[in-house]
Amino acid sequence: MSQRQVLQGVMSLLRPLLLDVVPTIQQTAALALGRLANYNDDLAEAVVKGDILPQLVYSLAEQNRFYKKAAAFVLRAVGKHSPQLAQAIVDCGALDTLVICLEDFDPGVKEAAAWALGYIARHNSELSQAVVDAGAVPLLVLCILEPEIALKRIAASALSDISKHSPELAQTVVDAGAIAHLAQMILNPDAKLKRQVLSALSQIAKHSVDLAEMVVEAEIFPVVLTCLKDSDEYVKKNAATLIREIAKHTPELSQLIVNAGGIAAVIDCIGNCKGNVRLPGIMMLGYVAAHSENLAMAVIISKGVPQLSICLSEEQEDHIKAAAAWALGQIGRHTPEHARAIAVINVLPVLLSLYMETESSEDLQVKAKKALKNILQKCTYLPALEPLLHDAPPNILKYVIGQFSKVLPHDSKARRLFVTSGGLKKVQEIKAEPGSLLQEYINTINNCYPEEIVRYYSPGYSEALLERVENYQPVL
Amino acid sequence: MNPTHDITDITFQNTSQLPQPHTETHKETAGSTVLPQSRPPKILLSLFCSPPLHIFFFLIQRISSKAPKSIDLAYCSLIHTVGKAPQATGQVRLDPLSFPPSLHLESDERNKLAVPLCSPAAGWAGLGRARPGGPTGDTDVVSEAGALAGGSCHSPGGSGLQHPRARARFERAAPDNCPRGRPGCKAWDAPRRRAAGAAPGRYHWLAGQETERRFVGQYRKTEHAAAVKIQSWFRGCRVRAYIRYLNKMMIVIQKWWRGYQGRKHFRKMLKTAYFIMKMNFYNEMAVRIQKRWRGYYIRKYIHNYYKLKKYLEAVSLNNEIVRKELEQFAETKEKEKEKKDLERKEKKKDHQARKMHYLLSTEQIPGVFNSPFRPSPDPMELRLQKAKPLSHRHQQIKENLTKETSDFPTCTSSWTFPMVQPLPPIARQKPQGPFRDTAEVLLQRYKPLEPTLRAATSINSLEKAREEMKREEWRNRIHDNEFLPFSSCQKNQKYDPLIQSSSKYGQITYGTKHFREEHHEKWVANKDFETVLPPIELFDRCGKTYSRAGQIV
Repeated sequence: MSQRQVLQGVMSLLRPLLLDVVPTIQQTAALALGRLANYNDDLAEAVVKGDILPQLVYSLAEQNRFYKKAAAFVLRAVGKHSPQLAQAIVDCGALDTLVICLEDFDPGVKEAAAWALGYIARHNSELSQAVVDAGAVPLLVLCILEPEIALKRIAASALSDISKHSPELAQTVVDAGAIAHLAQMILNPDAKLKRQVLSALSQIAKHSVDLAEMVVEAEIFPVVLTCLKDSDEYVKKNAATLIREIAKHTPELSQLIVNAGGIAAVIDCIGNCKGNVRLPGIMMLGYVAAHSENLAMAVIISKGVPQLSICLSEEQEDHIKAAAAWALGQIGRHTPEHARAIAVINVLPVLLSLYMETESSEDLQVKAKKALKNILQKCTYLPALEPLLHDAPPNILKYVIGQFSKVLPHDSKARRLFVTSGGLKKVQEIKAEPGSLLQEYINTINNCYPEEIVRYYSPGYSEALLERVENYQPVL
Repeated sequence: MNPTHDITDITFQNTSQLPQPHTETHKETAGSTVLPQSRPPKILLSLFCSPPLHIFFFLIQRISSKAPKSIDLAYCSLIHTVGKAPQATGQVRLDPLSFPPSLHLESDERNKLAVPLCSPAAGWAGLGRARPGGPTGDTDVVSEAGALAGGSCHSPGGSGLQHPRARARFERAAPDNCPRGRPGCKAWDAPRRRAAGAAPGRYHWLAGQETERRFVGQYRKTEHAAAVKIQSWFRGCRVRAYIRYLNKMMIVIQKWWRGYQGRKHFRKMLKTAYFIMKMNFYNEMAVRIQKRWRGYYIRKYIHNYYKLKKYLEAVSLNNEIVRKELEQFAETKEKEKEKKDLERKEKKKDHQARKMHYLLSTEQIPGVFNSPFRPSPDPMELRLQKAKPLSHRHQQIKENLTKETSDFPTCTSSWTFPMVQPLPPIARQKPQGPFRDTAEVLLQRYKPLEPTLRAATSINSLEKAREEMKREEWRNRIHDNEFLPFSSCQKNQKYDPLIQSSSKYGQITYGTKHFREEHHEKWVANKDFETVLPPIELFDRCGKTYSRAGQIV
């Protein structure tokens, strides 16, 4: 017997059991269906194909709380796999009964219904809109206020799933007054609830400036920083995500976070954890630094740059490295002062190696190159630039030489150092196309030095000298 | 014939030949400073037709009417000079020293600055110059003008020339009388004859009629030729001088005009240049002010270095504080967690101890935790000592709780009452005593103010009521007859009986036999008539307070 036939057989056997006179059998049958559907999407599809859902939905409104729980579990298990399956549930008219279940007295039923609604809403904005249209949001907000932690958790998760799709949906959640209640629960000792609450807040705040300001106005700010010190990794990650989503909108919001000491907390958080948990924190630093030079300076004085460079060298995954490279680029692109702060800790060779490595992903290469370009165009700290002279490919070398050509004409000490460190020799060895920008820069550098020195460091000078020795006729 | 006639005759004849393009000729003369000699005399002569000439003739007319004799004399002297010396220029000089200025005819002073007498403009110039000279100026002009055109005063019309009709008549008559250039013309002969008559000394050797005729015949041709020459030369001079004069005047006019224009233009340019200079200056100053202000503003509010430094310092300080606080927070969390773990472990151990209470050592037999070979008993032993053994009932309950699936309301087969523990007593004690309903209490507490009738009425209500009564009485009065108690006017009035007593059904017994209504069934309400009494406070509160004291039983 093939798996399909088995499924057919099982479904045909389970369906009559849903109509059994004994409630225990009904519930157990529903539970069995739910577990089957939970296993994978083929089974879930079989449940949908078996025309079981309408019956479940019908009995969801009629039966006792245990049956309701089980039926909601089936719906959740079916709906979690794909948008099509979730749409099938919506087409059965399950949403209205689920919403009625949210008004049930039993917290278990509420939890199951909220869970099912959350799983339906998480797929896409249409489904989410359908859930909202069924009037679930106010009831979910009421569920947050219930004393049961589990129910709170599930309701917060459902709200997060609803609000993540579009600003309008997030606005509906906000209009239902969810933010104030969610913000109150940030200090809840339960870590899992905190995860969901922070996730919901970040999903609300991510859409627009207005929503982010609404979230900020709930006075989450010094409080949410404590979550960055939480023992739970996901709480940390979600807290960092929330801060990132708020910071990314406007300089004012970023400033608010900086003034609240958020940067220091995030930097500490980056230092304390590993892997993907770091990512939102790194991105947050990049966003804050991108807004204005003062904010970038605030990141620098909060010792953000060493932490980012550690991330850049420590992390294994390319996307985190790419984020760190991007953040560094955002910090260093404002003024020479900023670029110097980055160049001093020797990040540039690391960035260059990331760019040059064949193993690194395309995104990482692009990010590293952009960061290098941004930093190099502002950098006037020559000791950090000199190593790049030897390693950099021409498209990066262009910026390095450009910086030398800008600084050397005005700095005699640097000119001297440039010669003694072998920079001038290296410059003479560069083969630039005549008329190109690189050649112009080289000419500018050469013009800073006496001609014989330039000639001395030119590649074929020793041969020329020897030739002169040969040609010389001694006067006897 | 008059010599004046002749001159005017010629002049007008010439004029008549002209096509009269006055303005054109004026322009021509104004435009060219020197007129070439070869130009036809027609054009030159046309100059005489210009308005100044007419005015000049008119003047002559006027003057000659005033002093005919002097003009005559002057003219005669002129003719005489011309006739005497053909080479003489015939220029007339105005002597500025003689006052009143007189005319001098000089033949040998052609190089001197002279004004041709015959030029009408000269007459004007002379006139212009002579006029401020004094009261005699007029007479001087007269002499000058008269010297030129002399005998128009001899014309029979007197002022006929200025009249256009007279002039036309003159013109019509002139060609018949005197064709130009004919030697036998009377117009030509007349002056010569007069000259001969005026200066007989020249022909004194020709005495008698015969010699005179011969003489005339002999010199006629040469004289005529000379006269023509003189006249042509003279007229040429006159015209040239006039043109020169016009040019000079033109130059003067143009000079003044151009000077005026130039000055105007210069003033304008100066104004513009000054304006531009001023604007440049203002702009420069504005730039200076704006530069300062912008620098100040930017440095104060936008790129304030010190502020930025302060801000960054504050941020780093804040960061330190936040870090420290978070550190503390994490520490406390950690401690709490540890404490909780410890407590849980203790609890577990306690439970364990309770469960294994039977391992407690007795006085006789040491337990497993109390080895006699060890210096001190195991800590578990102490715990066992402290612990209370688990009761069996507790386990029973737990067993019951595990069978949870059987308590479905629809499941009738094995339904039992749930064996859950009764709810713990609520900590708050129930308050004592039978109390009134909360709603009633609240109603009592929040009822609105109900003042007593006495408090509600105003203090002057009596006066008000009296006023009202008075008004009511006045309003409802049926007639305005005054009550006159002791007058005789009412004597003859008939007594009106009361309605009640005058009923045709007989008198009602009310008031006579009885004072109370006897037929109770006729009452509208079966309630006793209540008298209005002054309010008693106690009764006002009736039924509105907690106590039942006020209630009427």
